[in-house]
Amino acid sequence: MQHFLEYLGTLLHLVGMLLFVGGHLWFGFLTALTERRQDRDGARFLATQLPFMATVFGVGVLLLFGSGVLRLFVWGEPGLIFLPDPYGWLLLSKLVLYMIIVVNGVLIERRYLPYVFQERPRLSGAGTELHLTTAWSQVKVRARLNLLLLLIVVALGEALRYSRL
Amino acid sequence: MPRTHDQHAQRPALSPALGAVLLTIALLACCTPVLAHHGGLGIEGDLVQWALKVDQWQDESLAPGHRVKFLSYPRQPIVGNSTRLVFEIQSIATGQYVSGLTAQLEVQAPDSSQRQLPLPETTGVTAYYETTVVFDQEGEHTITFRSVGSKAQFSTAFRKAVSRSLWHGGWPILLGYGTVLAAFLVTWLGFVVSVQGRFATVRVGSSSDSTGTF
Repeated sequence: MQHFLEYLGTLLHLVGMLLFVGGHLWFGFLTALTERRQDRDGARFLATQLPFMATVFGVGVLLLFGSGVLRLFVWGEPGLIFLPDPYGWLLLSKLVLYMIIVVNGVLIERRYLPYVFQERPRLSGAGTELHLTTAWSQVKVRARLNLLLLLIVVALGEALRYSRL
Repeated sequence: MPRTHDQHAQRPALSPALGAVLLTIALLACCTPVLAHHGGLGIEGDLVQWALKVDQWQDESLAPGHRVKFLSYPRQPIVGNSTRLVFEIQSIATGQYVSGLTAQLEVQAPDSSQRQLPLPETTGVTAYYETTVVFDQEGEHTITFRSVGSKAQFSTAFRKAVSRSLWHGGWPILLGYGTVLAAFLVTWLGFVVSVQGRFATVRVGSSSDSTGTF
């Protein structure tokens, strides 16, 4: 049972990484592409997909945290994260960065996501159309910050493999 | 226009760099052996090879002619719970792992009471000697590995602190629980805020951020 749970935790952690880290990588790549090519339609398309991406990222976060905590419970060490060993400090760093990432994600979702579009009258005067606001820039900047932090977390995860307990 | 030219000039140099970074990350993620903590135990299958690396051993001691490595699982024993004590014996002279020893384990409690347990070799794992112990006292125990057979006679001791409960163990324990709890609360907060946002009215065209970028 313990081995199954450990396997399940690893599997779900990988799926969470695919959704969350992979999603941020693709989002960062595509937004950079739209900027370089001055592709307004592409940017607008990405912006319209933000609610969906937020949902995917949210599922990824839940999978990552849930599977990580599951493994900690399976190992069942007092204090859970193996402090004061180097392994524990690395894990602590991962968790602190994880919290910053989640708080940043919450800020993105609550503070900027609803304001990405602004309804403006068309130049022709007939009807209105949606324009991207500065909130879109903030979303991109903060998403890149999250991507940077995520890559550090992944690097810490790699370091965990070699840390001596 | 000059800006556009600059961007085009940078693109060929940037793309290979980005590709190299992504490739490196992928290779690191896929090709490195998993030496992560497995609860201090080898897991069946290929993981055994990885899990039995030295990084899981918690202590090491030199006896005459032998190197003895030691781990307990869980690493922090709790009074009343069973704890696995595992030893690995290696010859200092040849570097070879030593199997076939007749081993005994002596556990000395903080009140100096002692008990002896047989320490059989683990089937299928060379030079692994393992037994399960239930500690009944809190505090530092002395755990002595003793080889008593005719093949080799030596002994070496390790110290292991036993906690009263999962919650007793000083600041590392509290900091660990506190961090996991904080991470849980942040996750929960994020989840609640996110779900609330799904049901909130979508505000289009707020005046607070109305400067267009496109």
